[in-house]
Amino acid sequence: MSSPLVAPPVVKTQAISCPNCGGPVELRGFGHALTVVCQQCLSILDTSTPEVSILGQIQEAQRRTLLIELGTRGKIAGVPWQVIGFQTRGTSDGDSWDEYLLFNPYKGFRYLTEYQGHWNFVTPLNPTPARVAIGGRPAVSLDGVVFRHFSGAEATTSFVLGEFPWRVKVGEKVVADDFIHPPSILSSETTKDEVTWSRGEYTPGAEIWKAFALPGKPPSPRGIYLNQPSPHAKGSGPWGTFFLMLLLLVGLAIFFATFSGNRVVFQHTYSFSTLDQKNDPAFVTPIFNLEGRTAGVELTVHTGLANNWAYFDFALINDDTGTAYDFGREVSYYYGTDSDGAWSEGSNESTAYIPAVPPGRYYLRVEPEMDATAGRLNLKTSTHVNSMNYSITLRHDVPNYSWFWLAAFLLLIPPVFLSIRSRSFEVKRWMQSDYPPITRGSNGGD
Amino acid sequence: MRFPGYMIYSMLLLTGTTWAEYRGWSMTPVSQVKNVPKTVRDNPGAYRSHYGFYPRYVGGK
Amino acid sequence: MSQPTSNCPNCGAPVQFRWSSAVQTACPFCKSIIIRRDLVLTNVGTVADLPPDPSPIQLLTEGVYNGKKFQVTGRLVYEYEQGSWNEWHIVFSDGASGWLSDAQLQYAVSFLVPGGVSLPSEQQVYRGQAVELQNATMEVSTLTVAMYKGFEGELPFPYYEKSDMTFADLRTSGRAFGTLDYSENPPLLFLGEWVEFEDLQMKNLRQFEGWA
Repeated sequence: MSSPLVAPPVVKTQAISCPNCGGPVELRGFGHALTVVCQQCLSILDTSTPEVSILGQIQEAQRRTLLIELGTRGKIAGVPWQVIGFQTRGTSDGDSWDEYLLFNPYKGFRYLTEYQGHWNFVTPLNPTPARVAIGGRPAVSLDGVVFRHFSGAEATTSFVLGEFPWRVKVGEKVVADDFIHPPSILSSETTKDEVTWSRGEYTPGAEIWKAFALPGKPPSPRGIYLNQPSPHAKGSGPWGTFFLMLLLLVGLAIFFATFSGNRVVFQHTYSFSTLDQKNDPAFVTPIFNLEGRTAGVELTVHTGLANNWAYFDFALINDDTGTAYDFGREVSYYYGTDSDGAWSEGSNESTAYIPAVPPGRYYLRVEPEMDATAGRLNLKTSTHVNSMNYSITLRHDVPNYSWFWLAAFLLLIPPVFLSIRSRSFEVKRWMQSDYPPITRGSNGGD
Repeated sequence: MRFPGYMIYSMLLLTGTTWAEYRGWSMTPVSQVKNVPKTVRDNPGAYRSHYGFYPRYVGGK
Repeated sequence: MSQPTSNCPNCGAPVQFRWSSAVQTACPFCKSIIIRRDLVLTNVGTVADLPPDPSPIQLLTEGVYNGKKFQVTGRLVYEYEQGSWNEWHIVFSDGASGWLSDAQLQYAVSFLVPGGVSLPSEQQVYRGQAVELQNATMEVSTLTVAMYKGFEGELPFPYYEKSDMTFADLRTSGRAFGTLDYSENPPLLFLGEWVEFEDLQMKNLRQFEGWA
């Protein structure tokens, strides 16, 4: 097809001489740049017209060191970019961050922002996010994803270097708002004429160093950045597994409760008086059988004590093997009423668990003890006498439920620990926002 | 399964609990005394309790 | 698509309109702006040389939008206070005409909406105003005052000697994009959406020194 339209030649890069210092100024932006800051003398040049004029000057004292030099090329997600501009902006709080302008003649412009070792790869966003409100706080939504407002502040440009596709000025102010959905961030910049949006993705410094083949190491990140992804539990921890295991544990407990014999092998009621203590208060029970497998034995002593105290010394003795299990139990129960109302302390019964008792013929040795002086005064003999009635019940093949409680507690520890750790990361994150959480130990921000 | 370590840990816990339960163990072991003679049945007062100490029978005859 | 050939009314050189509905073009030899009405060509002035331009799109660039192929047949360059941008005239294989705007390498495709919608006038329009359209309500996000810097190729309507035109950008949440063009009265409405460079799958783009 013959055509009078002739394809223009390959677009060439330009270099001009700085009208102030005469030094070379390389133009890598193929004519996109409206403003260029000369690297040698820091003059701000207007390149929107062929006659390059001087707009202003940046003080040499303001000069900052760039971590990525202008002109450096790198590949991010398979796309080549070149650093053509740099600016530093800050808020009145004293926070300041750096921005590296990346350029690709087909794809356009991107930014690498850096703050205390935290990097973000930022793309200008044309579709406008919709404003929503989440839990009383401002938020925006884009393509179905909600970004929560983190902070808003006035940002002032404090230093500029290289080329920019807009007219830069030192001291230029915008109102910057950040909305986060880690690892993404949506930022808006509002001037009196317009609002521009951009979308950033948190990028580890190591990736940037690799992409741009930079020597040395990236600066170590300090603190937690707005949209830094949490390194802790994906989601909130293994709670699903926990509840499943808890259910299994309960099932196990029910199983053992059902299939344990839980037989009463001995039960008797006795009475005791401190008068017996002069003689021998100890006695033995008749022999009884523990049948079946090696299992736990539960002894319950139930008394009629009221505002009194007793101690029992027990021994479960195997008549055939001569093995004895020694243990003691204290029973104390006090109650009354005072200005706050009724109160009670202790219990009038006590239980003991003897584990892994092999089957066989057993008897129980019992030695009760009471405090005579706490008893009634016998006017005739002028001595105090304390007494009680009590019953002893022995059950064989009793499940030891404390194992289940222990297992449940141990099951709980990892998800709770992981949740606390993940929570504390988020609390630290939001402490720097416009909505710092009030930490009371039980609930952080959200 | 996002937390394989926890799954293994909880399986071990449940297995351990089942075993302890089956064997009738307890977390608070009770003092065991060996070789208690049959004469204790005739003279219970002579028996010295080992609750808390003395793993051997030290009572009188 | 018929490609009638005529002669430049100024210098007589053969002038070809690639696109049958083209109304304006430039003579590549003497740089006259030629307006065509039916088969009559009129010379109305001289087109200025376009300054060196960094857009990767050029005349005859091809691309795809919404599954339909298009070709770039013309260009309008606008200049405003913050720089300049291109409006590339694109023609689809079914003859439809659209605009691919290229501002600092951010792209949007839009189409002229035929009249009938009531639009705020140039005196009425203001930033933040809600504009009721057929399918949605959009908000005026920016007001720009611009002038033509030049043109290239073939355009669907005549334009020249216009300066200080007002444009209102229309936005809504999402990708939809619109423009109110106040260079005519009543204003022209263009509606479309923001597109990514990759989605246009463009071929026959310009080459840049040092870039593959």
